[in-house]
Amino acid sequence: MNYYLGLPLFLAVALLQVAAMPSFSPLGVTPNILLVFTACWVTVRGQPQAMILVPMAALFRDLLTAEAVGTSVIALAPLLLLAGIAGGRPTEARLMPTLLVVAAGTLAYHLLNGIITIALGQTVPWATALTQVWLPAVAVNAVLTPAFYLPLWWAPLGERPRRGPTGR
Amino acid sequence: MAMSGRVVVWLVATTVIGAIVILLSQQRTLDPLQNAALSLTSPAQSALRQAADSVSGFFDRQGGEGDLEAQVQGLRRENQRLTAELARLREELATTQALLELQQVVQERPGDKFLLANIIAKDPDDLREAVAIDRGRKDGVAEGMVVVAEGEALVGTVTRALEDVAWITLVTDPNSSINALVQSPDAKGVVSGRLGSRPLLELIPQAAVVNPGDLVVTSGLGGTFPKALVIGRVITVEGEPQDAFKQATVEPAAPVGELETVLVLTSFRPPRLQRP
Repeated sequence: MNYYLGLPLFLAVALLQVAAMPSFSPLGVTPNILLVFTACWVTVRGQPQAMILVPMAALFRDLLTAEAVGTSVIALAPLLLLAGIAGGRPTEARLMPTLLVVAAGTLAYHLLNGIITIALGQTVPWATALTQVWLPAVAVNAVLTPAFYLPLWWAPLGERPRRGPTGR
Repeated sequence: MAMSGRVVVWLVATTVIGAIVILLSQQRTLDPLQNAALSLTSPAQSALRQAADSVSGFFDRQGGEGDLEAQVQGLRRENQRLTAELARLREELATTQALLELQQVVQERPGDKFLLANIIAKDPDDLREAVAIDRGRKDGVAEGMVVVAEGEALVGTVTRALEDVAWITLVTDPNSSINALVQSPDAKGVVSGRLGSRPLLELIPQAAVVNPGDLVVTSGLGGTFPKALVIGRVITVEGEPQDAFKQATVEPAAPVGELETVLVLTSFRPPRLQRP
């Protein structure tokens, strides 16, 4: 059941990311709600579902932007690994580990995005990007995390995996 | 297989698949899919963007900026119109007073053709300044075409033309680079977009006189842009006397963050360089 509910949720979040988020610019950056939602889903619902849902949502997002399609698929992938490193049990409140996953995931996302941009022949002002985009993005995404984590934690989206995010 | 091992395998597979998809995207294989996705979601994106703008504007109005914003918008449009007229008159004066250089492209403004387009999406990537319009190849839009706003203020260029939609890279994009001219008096330079800041007019000869308030227009050199399109105005001038070049910060003439409708200059195509 989770896939049938999770896919529309992920696609809706991706659409919101592309259509609505550019209208907001706290600290001069665009909130990445798809990244935040992905991190929260992985820590609450587990990795197996995210392995299917995240690439699909990332592809959908890229189809609606000027970026090369496939960029977000690679850039969002580390979130699953980071959630596994964070560990923990599904019965535990894991907001703090989720915040760490969001923070590290945001940096990884922008780093991979920059590498892909360079590989495609464009320039990236690394120093400016770090101070004016990456670090503010970490703060903004972290502030948004509870808004996605708590509803996912409480929402009756079906039985949670008995094991932690890694399946153990 | 342990979950951690499965995740590693998944990571590798996802990276490989992602790289393949990126290659396909660069070869334009996925253009029909992108075109369909943008076209189908355009109404929903417009509705969501309007709602988001309303929410964003609500908080702005709490700061008492709502009425002032409307006044500023009206004054900005009038300023753009007058600025464009001034740029054309100065360019005509320079042409009659100076020797004509051999140009690759000769543009005659009355003969130009424009295509009206609506902005339907904005790229959410903070490292990129790009918007999508609801015109594409079937409407005669091609990559390299110049896009302007009211008063012929330069907005950017078409960098990706799909069948029904097109992506425009704005003059504020870090990868944007425009050969420019500072009128009164003439001083050549290059306007480059910057991340999180106003564009920078670089490579201005040290001997050139550039002052805040000077008008910056396209020079037409290189043939990538027509001449005399308004890029913006000089805000500040930086540089030490011992430097070979100085630079200036430019306020874009086109309100790139507030645009809803633009004009695509369909009669101008950058010439292809050919061997003699």
